[in-house]
Parts: sequence; structure tokens; C-alpha cells
Amino acid sequence: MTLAIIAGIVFLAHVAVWLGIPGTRVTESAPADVVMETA
Amino acid sequence: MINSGDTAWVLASTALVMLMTPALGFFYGGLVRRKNVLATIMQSFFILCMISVQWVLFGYSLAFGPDHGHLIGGLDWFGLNHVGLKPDPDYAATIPHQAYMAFQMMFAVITPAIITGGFAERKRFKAFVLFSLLWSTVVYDPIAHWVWGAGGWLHRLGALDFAGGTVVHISSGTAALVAALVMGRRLSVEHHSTEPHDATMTILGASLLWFGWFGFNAGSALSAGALATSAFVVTNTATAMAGLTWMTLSWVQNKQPSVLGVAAGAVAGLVAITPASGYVNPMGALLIGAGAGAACFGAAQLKPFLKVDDTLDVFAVHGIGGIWGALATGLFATVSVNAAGGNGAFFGNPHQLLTQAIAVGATLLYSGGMTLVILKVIDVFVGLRVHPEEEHVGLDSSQHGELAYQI
Repeated sequence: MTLAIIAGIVFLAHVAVWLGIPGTRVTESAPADVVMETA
Repeated sequence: MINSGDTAWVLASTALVMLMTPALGFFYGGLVRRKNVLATIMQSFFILCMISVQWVLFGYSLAFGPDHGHLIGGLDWFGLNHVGLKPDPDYAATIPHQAYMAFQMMFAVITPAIITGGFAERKRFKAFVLFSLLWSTVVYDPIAHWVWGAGGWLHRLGALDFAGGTVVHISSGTAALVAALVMGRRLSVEHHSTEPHDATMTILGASLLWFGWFGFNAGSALSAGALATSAFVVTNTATAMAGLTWMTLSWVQNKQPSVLGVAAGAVAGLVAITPASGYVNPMGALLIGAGAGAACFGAAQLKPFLKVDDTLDVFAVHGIGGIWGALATGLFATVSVNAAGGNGAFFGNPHQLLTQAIAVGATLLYSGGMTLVILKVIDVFVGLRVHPEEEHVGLDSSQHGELAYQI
């Protein structure tokens, strides 16, 4: 049970980090594929 | 007496582990530059062919044959003499002896293939052929005997290594580090980009490695039943957790989660759980995975500071991952999973940790030392590195006369 509790804490710590990291804003967009537009 | 379920599972596992070697070729292939991808894949594929032959001629005899001095198996089983279809009770009492031999063959194949990542993009093919054959014979086969052979000295000491943390990963990781040090850095690494040319190939390779590793670990139970199930579950758990940990650390460091990072982390988890897979429970495996993700990520960050051009971080993943996994086996092993194993420190037996440390140290020293000797000998007679012009145009062209992409 002790190992399970420690394991659960480790996993929750990961989730907390994912939720806590501020997102990045990429202002430069990747080159767009050339798209043939039909009328 | 032969059990058909056990035999079917071991044969299927043999095929799964076989797939891991070309999978490794893809994993590495995507990480190198485009001009070297075929040469990188070739190294893995060639080893699959060469060690398959070496093994049935004399490798299996050296590794698993009747013991000589607790150090080596000798040549009593040269050409698979005495290796027939009846079970060998010393190794696997319910499957044909040749099934056990074939299963072990795939471990002998993938181990030298792992090393190729350490000297990627600069080794002469002839030198690579000699190195792989000599290394398999004088490094892999003896270490396999010490840990898994009947009478092997580490086996007698009580070292626990279910599927090859020491035999496969520490030995190959150390060899890759020594090879990187001896061969020197790639010529253009300081001035030109050495970014992976195809991350999708690497992810494909990692996925196939994860799939095949179920055979590597669960197949090492040599039976289709409870122990194989346990090994299967802990393998997946540790791998998944390690992938999450490496990705998380890369996210914190770079502000974006790395795709290659989650794949590298998963491989680190696969490595670390390998020695422990038949001895730990799923929660222990989760912690082993988290530790592998963190330790191997950290080790990979040190490379620029140490100025060692271990091209594909083989020591960081296989060396450090194998060391952590072998020691963690000494922490988390429990007889409730495998009565034939032992208890680790968390289950009242701290002495197991010391035994694991001895196995780790012996493997590090022997593999490192013998790899150095082999490389020096080959350098005298054949030369290790390609010429600078050959390295510049790429190994695909200079070593094989073929290009991967005709664009």
C-alpha cells in the first residue's frame, strides 16, 4: 500500500506540472501548404 | 515434459524480440542525418544476420554451455551439439532446448546493435563488422554466462536480472560510451546541425521496441502464466511512466513537451524495468519508470558539458537506465511476485542492493575494459573511422553506395 501511495503522489505531481506550465504563444506560423482553391 | 502453451509463448516472444532489432534500426535511423540513415539501419540488420549465425555456431555454447570456472560456457555445444528438442532442465524444463536457444539468440543480437548508436555517423563498415563479432564473443557471451548461465558467478552470488539489465543494457551502454570516447567526435558536430532527419521514423521505432519488449520481458518467464503476466504488466507501467516523466521534464525545460522526449523516455523505462520485470509489482514498476525518466533525461543533458559525442545518447538511456533498473531491483524486488527471486531493501533485505551493485560494477568494468581493448586492436589493423571526405558525404554513399531517398 505504501508503494501505491507513493506512486499515486508521483503521478499526481506530473499532472500538476502539466496543468501548471504556462502555454507558449507561437507568433510565427509555419509555412502553409499550397492549396489549390476552386471557385 | 514439453508444455505447448509455454513453448508457443516462448516462440512468439522470440519473434517479438527479433523485431526489436530492426525497430532499433528505425529508432536510431530517424535520429541521424539523412545521409547516414541507411548505414545506421544496415548496422542493426547486419547484426541480426551475423549474430544469428555466430550464436548457433559457438555463441550459445560460450554463454550457456557447461560451465568452466564460473566464467564461461566453453565449446561443448559448438554447432548446437547436444542442443536438441528435448528440454534442458537447467534452463527451461517445459520447452524444447532449441526454443530456449532461439529466444536467447535474439538477446545476443540486439545487444551489439544497441552500441551502434554511440558511434553513429562515423564508423567504417569493416571495423564495425569486426567490432560486433569480437564484442559479442568476448564481452556479451561471458557476461551472459555470469548472470544467466548454469554455474555463472553472478548467478551464484544471487544477482537478480530477469531479462538483461546488466547483460544487455549496462554492457552495451558502457561499450557505446567507450566507443564514443575512443573514436572521437563527429567532424561537423560543432558547426553544423545534427538534428534528427525523420522524427516519425524514430517514433515508429520506439513503438515497435515497446511492442517487442513484451516478448523481451514477459517472454523471460519462459512460461505462459502468472509470472509472464506480471512481467507484461510491469513492463507497460514502467514504460508509460518513464515516457511521461521525460516529457514533463522537457516541457519544464523548453516550455514545450518534446515528442522525441516522450519516445526516448519510454525507451528509458523499457530499459530500466528489464532487470526488474520478473521481481517487482506494478507500483514498484511505476516508481522505477519515473526514476528512469528522470535519471536518463538528466544524463542526456550532461552530454554537451562532458564533450563526449555519444551520438544517440546510448549511455544516458541504456547505461544509466540499466544501472538504475538493476539497483532498483535491489530495492523493489518481492518474493510475492516471484518466489524464485528475492526481496529487495523495501521488503526487508537491504543486502540485495549490495549484490545488485556488485553485478553492476562487474559489468561496467568488464564491458568498458574489453571494449577499449577490442577497439584499439581493430584500429591498428583496420582503422575505426571513415575518412573525413567519406564522413562529409555520408556513410550511405561512402560505405554502401546507396541513398535512402531519391528526391
